[in-house]
Amino acid sequence: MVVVKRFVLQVHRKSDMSKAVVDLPPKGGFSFDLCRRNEMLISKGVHPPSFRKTGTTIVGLVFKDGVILGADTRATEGPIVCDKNCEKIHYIAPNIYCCGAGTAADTEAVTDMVSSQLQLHRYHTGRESRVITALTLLKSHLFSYQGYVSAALVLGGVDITGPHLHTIYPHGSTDTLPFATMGSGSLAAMAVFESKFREGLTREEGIELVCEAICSGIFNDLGSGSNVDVCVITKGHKEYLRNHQMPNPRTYVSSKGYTFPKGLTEVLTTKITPLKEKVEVIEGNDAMEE
Amino acid sequence: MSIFEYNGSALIAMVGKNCFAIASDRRLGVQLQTIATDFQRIYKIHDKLYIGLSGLATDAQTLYQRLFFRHKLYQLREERDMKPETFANLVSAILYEKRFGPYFCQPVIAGLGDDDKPFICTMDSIGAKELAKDFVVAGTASESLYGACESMYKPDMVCSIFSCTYIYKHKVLDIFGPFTKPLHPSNPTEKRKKFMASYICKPTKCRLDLTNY
Repeated sequence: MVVVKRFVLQVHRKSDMSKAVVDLPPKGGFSFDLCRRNEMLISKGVHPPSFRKTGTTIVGLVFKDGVILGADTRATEGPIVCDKNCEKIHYIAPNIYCCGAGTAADTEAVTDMVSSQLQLHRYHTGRESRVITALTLLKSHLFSYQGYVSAALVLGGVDITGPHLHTIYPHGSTDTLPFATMGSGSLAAMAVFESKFREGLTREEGIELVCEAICSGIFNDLGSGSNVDVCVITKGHKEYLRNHQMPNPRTYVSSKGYTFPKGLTEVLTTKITPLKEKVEVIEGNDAMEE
Repeated sequence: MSIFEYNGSALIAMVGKNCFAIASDRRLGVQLQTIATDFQRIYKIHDKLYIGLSGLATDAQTLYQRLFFRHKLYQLREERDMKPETFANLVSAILYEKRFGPYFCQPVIAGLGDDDKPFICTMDSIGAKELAKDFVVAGTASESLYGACESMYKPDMVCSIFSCTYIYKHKVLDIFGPFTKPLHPSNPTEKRKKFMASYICKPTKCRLDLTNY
């Protein structure tokens, strides 16, 4: 009897152990298991790292035939520019795009997540996605994290009900506007919009105004810089103009360049590993045919 | 003091002509005290994919083990190696999962993708990817490395490793983090002990150099 009981106990423990050890893909959502350790480190005076932010200028405006979104392309890590040409206009649906400001990982993750959810929704309903659907998904996600997911977004698109432009704040509040700016350069860009925007702009005028607003952010705000990305969305058609304007080219390049002769750095040991060619074996199907 | 400066690290990856190079320092310290000079920061995931992990050493090792495990599972399921772009997405997802209690690690991923096209990428500690066409840097010496790379990088260098090591030579003092104290040559062999490991990977072979600077 005792032997049987022990055997059962052992089996049970083994399965518990394997559950703890195996790192299967989790069910989704955030995992908080390192939080206690991180808190302990903070209490010992060790500061957590700064995350990559897109201290940014992002804008959107509604023109005659649709929506135009614009963004700069600088990503900063504290006071350092870590990416001179990053993409801040994220794809949500074929007819909906979203510019993101704030913590870079948050904007990327939240827009990717909503994009997948909308794709599934399109498969379920068989219809083109509506901007208001993306808006509701984004705002409810951001609100449920009470602003800790630090993503400030400008969402724009054209659906069956017409062109729409919305701004979404990190705490989950939204605004529906004819023209909008977000990010650290939003004041500089808004100044341009407030003076030059009018209803019923043409495509060329709209693009020019957006570029002017972004450039104003690029040149007057330290958190924004490099190039201008523009995205024009109209009914049934979208155009993503990556690096539409590049007002900050690298002007000084040393003509001599730097040469690195061999032997400049003393090499202590070298190990060369030839990489084996991986051969694909395509099995003949005669074995099964018989 | 930031958590990244606890162990100290410096990583760099560069794209050359049909090859990539990834290099790291090998010092492991506890704040200012050096406790090892042969610490491995660059790990091989498969023949054509390397990941370097800067930051807190314990998190780097844990993260490497998790990623290697996930890659082995992928190999079993798909019967092939992961592409570097896919792997970068996997690392980004694993880091973002810990958004509110992150790993204190900044990965640098370098690999040869389809048609042996070199791919490099870096991320911050919560998985914000930065794909670059020329070079990526990470670690406590990142600011100095940014400056050095910006001025010295040229596209299509046949042996980008030498540029990596040369750039490192200039930034030797910064490997120790923001405390730029010159090394005391009281122990003359001390200087020789400051190793640096670099991998240069071409489509047909991979080369590991241990260099002095």
